[in-house]
Amino acid sequence: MENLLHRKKRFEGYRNYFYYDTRGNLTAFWGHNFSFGVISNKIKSQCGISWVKKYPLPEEVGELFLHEDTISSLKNIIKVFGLTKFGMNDITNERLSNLEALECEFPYEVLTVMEDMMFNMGMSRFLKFKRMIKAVKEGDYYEAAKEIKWTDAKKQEKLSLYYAQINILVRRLEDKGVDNTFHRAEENISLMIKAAK
Amino acid sequence: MAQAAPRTHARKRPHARTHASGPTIDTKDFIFASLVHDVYYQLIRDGYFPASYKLDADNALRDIMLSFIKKDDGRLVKTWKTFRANYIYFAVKIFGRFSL
Repeated sequence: MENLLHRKKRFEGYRNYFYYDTRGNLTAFWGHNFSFGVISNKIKSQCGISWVKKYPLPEEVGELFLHEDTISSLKNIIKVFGLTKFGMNDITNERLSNLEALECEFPYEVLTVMEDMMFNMGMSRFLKFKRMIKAVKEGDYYEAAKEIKWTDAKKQEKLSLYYAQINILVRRLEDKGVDNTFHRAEENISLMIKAAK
Repeated sequence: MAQAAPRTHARKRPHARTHASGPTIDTKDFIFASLVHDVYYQLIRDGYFPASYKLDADNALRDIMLSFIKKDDGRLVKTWKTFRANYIYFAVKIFGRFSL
């Protein structure tokens, strides 16, 4: 389960200083959101950014937050899919802290995809993927992979919010000239298909 | 590298946000700066950062406030906002320790 952390480090860019993300949330480290209220773009533009790199933050703290965020996402995943899938009677931080010992009925690929989606979208937005959750519960991972990409997998007309959001992010990075950009939603879908096989 | 206190459990409560507290006016620049300052103090209180980071927190507060009045070429024009940034800096430097 330690791979969950490595995967997240690969997906999320690391910054050892505070910055405001595109939505105006105060963020630092591997995309940890401090949930301190939102700053409007107008105020953001008025403030210079010269101060941010003057105060580097310790990486150990970033590691702690990454670990805590992963535990928090896993907790939510367990709440959604049920304790029995993870062979637990109750959720304890001590049990979840040891990621290597965590066992679940899903294939490992499915758990990483679910955890990644939960981390990115949060509980409320994750719960909107009702058909995907149902497909995962039933073990139909191929169907779940389609539900990640489309709002309605049968019609396949409109991209899901999650997929569209990653599309925008990738396009923005490409516009900036960042090399080696990868589509994490596509990678998640291919992982789900791999689990289906 | 400064050593933070070891933590073995996940955080249970959300971060505290008090905005600009004390005898002051909540202007946009101060709200913006106090947000970062509050995060620093909260992280020190929670044991993520050692207390030595208070200095960074106070300096960041002043720098952010000053960055609102800096010209494009980085020049700092002295206005009443410069004075305000400085007295707020000294206020948190002296009295901030009581909230840690």
